[in-house]
Amino acid sequence: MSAPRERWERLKDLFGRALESGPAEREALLAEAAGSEPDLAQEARDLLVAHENDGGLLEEIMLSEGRGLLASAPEALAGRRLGAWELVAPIGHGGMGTVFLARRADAAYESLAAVKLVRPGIFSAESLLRFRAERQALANLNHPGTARLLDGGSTPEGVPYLVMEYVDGVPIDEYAGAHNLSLEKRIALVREVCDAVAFAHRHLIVHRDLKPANILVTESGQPKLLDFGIAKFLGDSEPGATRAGERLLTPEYASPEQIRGEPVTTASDVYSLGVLLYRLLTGRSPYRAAEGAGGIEKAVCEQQPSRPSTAVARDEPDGEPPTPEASRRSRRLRGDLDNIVLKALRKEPERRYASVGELSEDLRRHLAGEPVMARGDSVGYRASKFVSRHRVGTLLGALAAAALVVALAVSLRSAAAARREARKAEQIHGFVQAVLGAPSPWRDGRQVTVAEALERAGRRIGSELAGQPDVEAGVRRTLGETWAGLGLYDRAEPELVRSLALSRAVYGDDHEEVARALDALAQVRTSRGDAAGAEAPAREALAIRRERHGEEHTAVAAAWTALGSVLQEKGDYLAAEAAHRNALSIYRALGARTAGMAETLNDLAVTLGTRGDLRGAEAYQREALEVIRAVYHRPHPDVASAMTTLASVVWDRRRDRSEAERLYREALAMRREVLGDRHPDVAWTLYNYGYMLMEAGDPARAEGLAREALSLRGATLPDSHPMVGAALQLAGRCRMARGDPRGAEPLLRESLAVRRASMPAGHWLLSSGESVLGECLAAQRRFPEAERLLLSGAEGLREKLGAEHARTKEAAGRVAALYMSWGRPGEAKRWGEAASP
Amino acid sequence: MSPIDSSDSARTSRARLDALMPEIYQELRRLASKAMSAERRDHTLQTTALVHEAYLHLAGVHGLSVESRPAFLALAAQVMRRILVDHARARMAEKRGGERTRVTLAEGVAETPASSLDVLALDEALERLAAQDEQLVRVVEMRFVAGMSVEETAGVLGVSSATVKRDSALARAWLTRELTA
Repeated sequence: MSAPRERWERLKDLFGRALESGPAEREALLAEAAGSEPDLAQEARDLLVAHENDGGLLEEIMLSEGRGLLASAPEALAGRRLGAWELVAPIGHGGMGTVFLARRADAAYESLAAVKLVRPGIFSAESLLRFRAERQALANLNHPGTARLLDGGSTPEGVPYLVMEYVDGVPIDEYAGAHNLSLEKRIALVREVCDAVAFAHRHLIVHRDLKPANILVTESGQPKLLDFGIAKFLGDSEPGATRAGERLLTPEYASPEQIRGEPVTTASDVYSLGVLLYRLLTGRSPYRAAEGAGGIEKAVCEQQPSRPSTAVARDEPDGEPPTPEASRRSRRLRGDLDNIVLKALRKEPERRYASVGELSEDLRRHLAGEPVMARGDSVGYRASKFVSRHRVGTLLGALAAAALVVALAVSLRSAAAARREARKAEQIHGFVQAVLGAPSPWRDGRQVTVAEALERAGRRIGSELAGQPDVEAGVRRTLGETWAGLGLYDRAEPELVRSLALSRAVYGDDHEEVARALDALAQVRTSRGDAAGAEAPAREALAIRRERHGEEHTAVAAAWTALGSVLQEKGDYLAAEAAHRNALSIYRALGARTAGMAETLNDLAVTLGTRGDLRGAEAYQREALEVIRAVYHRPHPDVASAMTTLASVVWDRRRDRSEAERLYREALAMRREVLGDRHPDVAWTLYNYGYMLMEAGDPARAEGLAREALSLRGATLPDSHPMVGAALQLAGRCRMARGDPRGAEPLLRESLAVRRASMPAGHWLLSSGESVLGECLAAQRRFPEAERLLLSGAEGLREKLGAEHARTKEAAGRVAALYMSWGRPGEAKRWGEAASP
Repeated sequence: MSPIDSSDSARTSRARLDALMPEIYQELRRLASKAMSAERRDHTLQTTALVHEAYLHLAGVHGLSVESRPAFLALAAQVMRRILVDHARARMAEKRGGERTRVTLAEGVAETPASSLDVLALDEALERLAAQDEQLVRVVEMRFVAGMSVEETAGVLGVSSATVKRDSALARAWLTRELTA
């Protein structure tokens, strides 16, 4: 036997004997061996330690590769059921795993989804846990431009999967090419993508992997972002994962900081949008990558991208002169668009646009011919902008020249303001990012929720932003709005109150910042049912806008409408009408047929409808629908809202069932298409449609729709949502109309209970609920119980809505009917009079 | 590879089994795909289960005797190890390609999951261990890949159960040390 072989045999022998001995005996054995062969003894000791620490590593490896083996045979998975989803067929296969088309296996209605089976090793066990924790935040990301995360879990073999909204579309670059979209349309499309990204950023979610393959455009032209926030969970956290995480990126669209493995913030998404814009405007990548591995990565970190206008003109092969088309496009890109794209693509995150909203705003300005931010504030530049915007005016000569001087003074002042603004925005942004993107947002392996991060931010403000009250005001407003976005209004209000006080101290009482803080405060108070408390801030915000802009300005119109909604909520319908009419006359004078004008028309119609002026309501609502359709040109949630409101007005006023049904069906289809099947707004449409059918004397179909709406109860439609109480009541009323008051009673009681739990005492809907429940008890001849509820309900409605309101009269009619059945004709007659129109 | 048994009949049977290698490979792959589609709630994919299932199938087809079962399993464990390694290598290669998909999470992305690295690392560690002591590697394959009992393993190797236990503990400790170093 060779010497190494003999040594190995002695090691085996020593290890075997030590293994079988008790601790003391083992020590003695090792000590004795160490006397003659210290190396051998040490190795045996190491192996014994490894033996102790063996946590099933081999089994783990075998099992995980075994799972991978399974995941590599996707075709075998079709037909399998995962949770509520049945896999139909594989539709894609990528590095992360396999994507299946799936349908809901447990639902009455057809619902499709995309299920991604994640390959083992893509999600580490730890990041899977975190992903589960954050799934709710991702699932709450409800925006028409974002494919929603619906569900997720693990197969029995332990293969993780995600269920996403299924998007039938093509990547945005292919879409733009296939439809031969103009430059303007391409920019408009990118702005819509920006909206969706900005929405997610407001919910503190960064996409991290924006690229054409993740931005699909549907047949109707709606861009949809896939895989929001998921890139974060890929390959992070584990030892050596930085490297793996890096490689999971698509280098062309990854920002320099992502490639370097530095912290990723919202600025990284701004960068990726810049690459997207570059590609859509020029058809090229911003970088000319060197050959070989790491070429693109190096280019992204080091190369200055050429101007888009240069890139399109240059690229003719063989040194041929650019085509006329290329020259035309190059001229079109030169200037603003070059500047905008390059600003988004800056290597240093802090030198890019401070937010996606700013990038989008600059694109809007460019399309509108206004000066863009992405440029030094040179006077010549602004003057040239001004002249091109007001070309006609300048031709008028001296008068125009004077106007130009005044306008320049104004725009120079606002340029200085814009610079201050930008600095502050960066600081605010930086602070929020620092808190939320702190190196270890995960403590003790536990996810820090958005709420915790906000609380942490709240605690740090005092110490870290001392002496910077302007920044503190901005941060607190952001915090307040985010709390409000989470529905936690009682947390939101103190931040907003504080932000308002700081803004007043810094800027004085008549500044736009103060007005914005007032807007936010009014909105939060209205949302929490404190319309009375919302009125003062809404009025002050309006006064500031009038002072700053004069009467005829869209900002003033928007402020009037905001005040109008507060007054409507408060129940002061006359004042609400006056406010909305003021707003409308401003929009009409400006000729601004915008989304803001449609909102005003809609709110005015609702106010008039509440007051019983249905003719006026119908006219304004028709105009609202016309305006909003012209604004969007395609399916959009706001168009659907305008339709359902018009449907209810048409029905209430003219009992035109066929037009109302047509509008409801169109709105329902549009909402499902744009928002998905489980969105609360879909439930609302079902409810409103059902309500109309009940009134039209079709309680069977109406009940079906109410129950369909109720089937959406759950995470996205909690019982505190007003639709739930309403739909329960509708289902109960349908039961009654179908001659089943006993079946109706539990539904009506539950309706009243959920409303009482979520609405302020004294709300007219509680009175309405009492009245309807009373009617149900009267039908069961439980008269005394019924009387108490019916009287209380009728009285409450008279108090809240007035004696002349249709609902008040309806409730009085129910009281009259009670006394008729009870054999008390005198009281019946008196209440019958109150009920007659 | 050292002979595992000196008796003539065992050698014959071993030669017969060797001829079955390609078939065992196919069978294990087929079973792996099938296991994925099976609607078995309690199912956990384990190499041991696959190896045993492959035995049951092939024993039926080829009329293998019960006595050849341990030898078959020992062989299938080696094949299984091969499959795992091939699969890990294929995945490493695939990452360099990467297809475009309509609904993608990380299209064209690289993928180097820890588990493939681990399987390849384990395979390399087993090769190093084999250079030192072939029998320990056989023990690992039989015990942990094929899930054979101590007694079955001892029978195939022609050693005592105590030796299998000691070798098994030593091999695991040695591999753990190699893989976590």
